Amino acid sequence: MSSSSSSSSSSSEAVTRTVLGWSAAMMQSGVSPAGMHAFSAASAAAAEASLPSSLCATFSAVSGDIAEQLSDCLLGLGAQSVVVQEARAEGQPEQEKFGAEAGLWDSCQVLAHFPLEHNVDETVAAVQDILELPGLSFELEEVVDQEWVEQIKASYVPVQIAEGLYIVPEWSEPADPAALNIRLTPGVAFGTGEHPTTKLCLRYLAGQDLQGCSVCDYGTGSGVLAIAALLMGASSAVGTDTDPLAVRAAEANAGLNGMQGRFSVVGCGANLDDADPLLQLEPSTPRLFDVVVANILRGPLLELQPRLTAYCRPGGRLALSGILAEQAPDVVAAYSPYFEDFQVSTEGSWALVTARRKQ
Amino acid sequence: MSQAAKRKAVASIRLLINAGAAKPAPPVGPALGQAGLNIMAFCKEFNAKTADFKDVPLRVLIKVYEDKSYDWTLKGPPSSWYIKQATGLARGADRTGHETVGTISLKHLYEIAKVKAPDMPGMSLRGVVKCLMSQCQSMGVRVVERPEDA
Repeated sequence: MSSSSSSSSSSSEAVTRTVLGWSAAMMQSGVSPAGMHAFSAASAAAAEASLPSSLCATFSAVSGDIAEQLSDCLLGLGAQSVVVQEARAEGQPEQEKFGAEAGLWDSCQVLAHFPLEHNVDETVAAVQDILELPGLSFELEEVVDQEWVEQIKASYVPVQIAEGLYIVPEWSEPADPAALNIRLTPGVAFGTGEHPTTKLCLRYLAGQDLQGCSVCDYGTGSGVLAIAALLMGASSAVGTDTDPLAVRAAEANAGLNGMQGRFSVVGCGANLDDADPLLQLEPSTPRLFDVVVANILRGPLLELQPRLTAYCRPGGRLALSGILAEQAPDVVAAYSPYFEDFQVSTEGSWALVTARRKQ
Repeated sequence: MSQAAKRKAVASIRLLINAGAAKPAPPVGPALGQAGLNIMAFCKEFNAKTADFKDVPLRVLIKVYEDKSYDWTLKGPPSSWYIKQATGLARGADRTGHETVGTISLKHLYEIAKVKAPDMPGMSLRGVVKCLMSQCQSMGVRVVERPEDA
């Protein structure tokens, strides 16, 4: 079965932001041949992503009037996602559509993704009946994960966080070899360096004296914060994440930066009821850290307050992010019984809360 | 086309995502990847904005513009969620068409339809109810005429 998720029938051309093949994207970013080799090797390592993950039903030449109803109905009957795009036959001029006020294009292409085991024929028959449509024809094919995974990977470019501080993908050459360059390997874990919260946390760490410190990175994602801290002088770090892919990514990134002996990564559950992730480490590993950093979300930060507090030694430092500016007061309130010297910094709509554990 | 340069829309995307749980994996990855959007940035933004709801599946509508910018709006939970709430079910039937795991009255479906109708502009209320009935059938929930029979 074909593995492309943006197929079109031979008689029309879908006008869409098509995903560039990874090699084209790489060449545009000026990557060396050695770098390309490293990237393809890493891609091969993600071989399990080449199994079909979902079904895609493509409805071509759907009129604008019914495309929206069709989408809502499909979503209501089990579709995981529905995309509506302009369908343009070859040679025809582009149809104009502006913002939300204008109506849909005269002729649309509707792509609906379903779980592999879903009976799409049954659903489409039901939709036809509900919307009282004369006939709906569609093409069905399996979708492979690899394409969107590669799109994420292709978006990995060197990012400058601050003066002398960069995040550099494995296959790129640092612009400034003398700077602090955090190397990251392609993956789908959060923490590529682009996000404002990653930058907020990294700038905070860069401004701290981390010599000889122990660090806990709760919700480590790619491991970027823990690894940065180690490169900045911290002596050891422990990272944990609910996503097994993140755990693997963080371990790989530790190796890439020569930190594999100093960074331990373990999986954890999503709730406070779940076992303390530190229990998976050697009994001799300290349970208190000089620095606790957690770039997650408001909900988990509030729920995990007892645990993150317990991890932070008296006088130790705390850095919490992944929250919007308006969520910062809630976080400050939750931790204020045990912490002092709170500071809130923001970048755009995102915030970082830092504090010190009371003695 | 002249002065007020309106952004040109190139796609609309509908998704069901659990509050606070957007990840690059399907369904988000393939749908957003198709449109060339920054998947990670959307996931992070969605999760932060829905951090207050817990575990509820939410319908999301994203309008994508030519310059790869996008607007997204949150809509309420899907029909299946309402039906599960109404019938007290944790999940639908394993073998649809062979198992009845609950019953719901037409009146109740009508009430649910009224809540959902604003999320489905362009569909008549009757169409929404029919959609719900179809959903019930696929979940193994029997629809009865009167509440007392449910």
